[in-house]
Amino acid sequence: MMRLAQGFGQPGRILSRYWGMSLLKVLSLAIGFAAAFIVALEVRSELGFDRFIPDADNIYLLRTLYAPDGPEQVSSDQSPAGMAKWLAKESPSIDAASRLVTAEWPMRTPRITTQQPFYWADSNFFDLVPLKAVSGDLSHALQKPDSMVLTQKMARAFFGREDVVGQTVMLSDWLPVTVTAVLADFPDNTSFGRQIFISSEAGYSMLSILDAHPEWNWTSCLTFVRLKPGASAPAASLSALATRHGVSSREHPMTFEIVALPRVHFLPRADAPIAPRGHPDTIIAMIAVAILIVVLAVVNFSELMAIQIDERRHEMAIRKTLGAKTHEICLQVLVEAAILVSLALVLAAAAVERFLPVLDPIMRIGQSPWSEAWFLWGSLSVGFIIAMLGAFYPALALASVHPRLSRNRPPSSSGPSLSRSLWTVARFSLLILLLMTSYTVYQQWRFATSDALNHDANRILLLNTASDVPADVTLRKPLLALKGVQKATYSRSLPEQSNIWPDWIRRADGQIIQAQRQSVDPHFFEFYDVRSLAGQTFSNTYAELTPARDVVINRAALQALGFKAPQDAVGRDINLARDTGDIVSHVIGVVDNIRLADIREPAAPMIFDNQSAFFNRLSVKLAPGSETETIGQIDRIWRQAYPRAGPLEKQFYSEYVRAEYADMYQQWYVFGLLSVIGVTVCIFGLIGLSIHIYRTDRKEIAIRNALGASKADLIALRLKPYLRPLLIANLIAGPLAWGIAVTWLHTFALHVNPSWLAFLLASASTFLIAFGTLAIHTALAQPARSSSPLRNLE
Amino acid sequence: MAPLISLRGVNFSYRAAGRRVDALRDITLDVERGEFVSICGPSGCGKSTLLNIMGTLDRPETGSVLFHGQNVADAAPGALARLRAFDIGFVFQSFNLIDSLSVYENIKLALLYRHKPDFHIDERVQEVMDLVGIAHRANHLPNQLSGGQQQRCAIARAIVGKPSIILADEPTGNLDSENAAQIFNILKAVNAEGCTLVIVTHAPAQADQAERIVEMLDGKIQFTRRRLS
Repeated sequence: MMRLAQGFGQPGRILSRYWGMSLLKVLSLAIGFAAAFIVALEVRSELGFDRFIPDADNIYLLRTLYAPDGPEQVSSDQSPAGMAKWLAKESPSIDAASRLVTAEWPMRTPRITTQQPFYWADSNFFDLVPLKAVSGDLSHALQKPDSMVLTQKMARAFFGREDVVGQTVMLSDWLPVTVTAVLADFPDNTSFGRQIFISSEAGYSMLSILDAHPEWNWTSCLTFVRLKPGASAPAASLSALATRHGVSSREHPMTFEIVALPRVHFLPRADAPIAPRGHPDTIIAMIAVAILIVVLAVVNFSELMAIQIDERRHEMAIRKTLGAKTHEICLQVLVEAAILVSLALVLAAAAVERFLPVLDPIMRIGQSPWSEAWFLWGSLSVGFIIAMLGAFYPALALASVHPRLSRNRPPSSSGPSLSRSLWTVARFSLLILLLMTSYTVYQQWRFATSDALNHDANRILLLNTASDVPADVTLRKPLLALKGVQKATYSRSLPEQSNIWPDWIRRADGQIIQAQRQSVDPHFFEFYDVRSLAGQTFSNTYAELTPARDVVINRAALQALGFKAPQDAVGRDINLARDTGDIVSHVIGVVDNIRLADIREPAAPMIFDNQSAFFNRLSVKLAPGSETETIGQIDRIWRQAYPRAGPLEKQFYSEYVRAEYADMYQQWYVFGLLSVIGVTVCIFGLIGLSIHIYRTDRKEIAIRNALGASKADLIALRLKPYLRPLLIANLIAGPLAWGIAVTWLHTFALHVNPSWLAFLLASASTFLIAFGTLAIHTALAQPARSSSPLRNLE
Repeated sequence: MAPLISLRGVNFSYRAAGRRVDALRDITLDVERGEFVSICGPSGCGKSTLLNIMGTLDRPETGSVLFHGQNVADAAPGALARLRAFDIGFVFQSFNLIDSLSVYENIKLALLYRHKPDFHIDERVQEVMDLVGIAHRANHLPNQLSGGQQQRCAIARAIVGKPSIILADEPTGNLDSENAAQIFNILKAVNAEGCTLVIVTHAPAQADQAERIVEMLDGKIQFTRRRLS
């Protein structure tokens, strides 16, 4: 016991003696590990999407692919309402099928009144998706009409408690629904973004309405299926079923696929996505950067330990002279390292616990980082092993000191050695990569959310006029009468890129091309600064449910149809393919491609008509300065016009765009965070190195000082050895970072060009960090008496 | 004409082992141009500290240090560095050569901190190496030299810039008698050419050769006496 206490007591004293260096080692390791833990949590969250659902791999989402010829242009996470029923009855491989439909209604309890998103759910939904209930019986929870299942979180929000089975919630002020079960809260990494399920058994539910109209074949439901054991459901059989029931035809070809629920998160972007998509590339990049940061931190740790070799070489030589064995010295250094690594790991875990709530709104990790013991201990163990690997080299180097050194003074250093120069190159190369990547992602995000839109998205308010009342084009006039409203225009769903309505055009050569159908009013193109290329746009709207006579097409449609110049298309007829025979529409004009909220994909061919029956969005441009007051006035006009409707759904276009590019923002945030951490680790390493060099070179500095060297001369002396490694790092990392930036940017249809400024900023930052750290330390670390090092050194 | 260096009421203390040590107490001393002054006294009496204050390596706590009639006690670090580069040469007991530089480079270093040297550097370095008899070791590193050779190199470094004053802190303390005599003669020769020389020494024979001897005890000047000619 005494021996053990001595074993730890002595390293403790040594660490406290070199407390500054010990602190640097602990902090740089802790910061590196904290970054790695955060990335590990994020990766666990991304890869564990919907894994909280038992047997999630055997729950499949039925997806729709619109594919006339070649690869599909549009896919949807939704499918036509009838597919679930037909699959359950007619497909031998399907064990069960169930549906959800998204909706948003006013809800009221004695505690709150709110406009609440929820799902209409088939009564067998919880048989297929076995979520965990904390009260109530899920197997019967949705069998009665007017029954509701909600999560603990929603129960607390609605009633202030969780034991709410039997309680009533009023829908739209006139429909009482009863809570039949309460679900355990969902983690953030789930496809189920809404936390209320209301039975579709009632006649007023959207699912009942869809079932009552089997001819409505559009994609409207989230359909989930479970396969029989060992069975599969090939796309061909799904498509054949759809064709059999008239959902898909030669003119309106649709194919279907089923995707296991945990995989949906990583599918390409889709119309009406069940949940925001993740990006495998981003995860791989994050893992790579986290590994590099851990390597950087461990190398720092190893290097800081190694530079103490010079200072402790004498001590170890004396110990050897006194009879210490190599393995005893090695063990002593490793025990010291283990103490530091343990401290760093505890500090890192505490930092993650403390700062995760701050990062979570952007990183969406959700769960408590240490909710699973295996993850906590696994992370700490891996961290410990990696860091201890870094301690082996200095331990062995120190243990191999020859006893005869005890008779000599420690040699003074004359700048960094070759190995340290190489590490400096590696360290700064990584830093340049991180900084440049962060800056490039930021530039692209900024471009996507502002410059690419070609108008001030902060002043455009998007009103959802669909709600549960019919759209009324007359709302535009009273809004335009408001002083704070400059312009207003109706559209079907634009500028939002959701609820896409595919249409098919038969070209002269018989080939069918796919396009997006949009309905807009005559003010739309001027409102969104869409340039007219030829012909004219609309002068009016029409409300009848008849096919459009006149249409406007965009540049992408012009090219897809094979016209050479915009003028060639004006006045020409195009055939819209329909099962009942083609509909002929007349092209009255061609407009430029409209770049709204998607810069990832090339502009899609679009056909615009002026049918007001489908108007769902009213875009309002607000005058600057009185936005809040104007929004209040808009709300009052809405309530007066539609007193039975819920609150007006609205958001600024900028908010929508930011939500659309949340993944890119997240990438920038993560890379930015990792860059800051990389910079910090780098600075700690440099401070450690600077302290060491200063200690070993203080005599030389004092001599130069006596000879008349100014502070600037001494700082220049310190910086000179780092100049070459920094230049080499720039030469290596610059082109590499440039290549990565170019490759990443080319995944976007529209993108900024990689900026020389980014490279210059990254490069300048590394010089600033290196020189700043070393210069500040050199300037501050003058001894109290500059003559001291010149005395008693022999 | 004002003295080259004039110390007025200089006090200096430092902390050692948590205790305040009064190294210099109310020192007043003038050193004239071209003068040869030796500072004597027992170990720890403040001789080297006095030399460091005169050489602007340390600043007095109170009192003034006039150099060419200008008070440099509160001068900016840059101004002091310039003063040391142009006007002061140091010779230390432990030589204080830079291990990683050759003899030639060590000597040349003293001129480099002038930034705009008023000499043809290579010629001047060669000249002083010849003067102190170290030219044949120009490319050797300090650890390849004997103690006497190292001190010759240190003296060459001190005089290469033709300073107004050389401050030598026990320059022969680490040398055998033969080398000590040779080094002392070189310093005397430098003084004979007009360079002020202040030397801290324990050797009475050397001290007695100075024009003026300053005897110190417990941080104070006990007495000053002139050499009997």
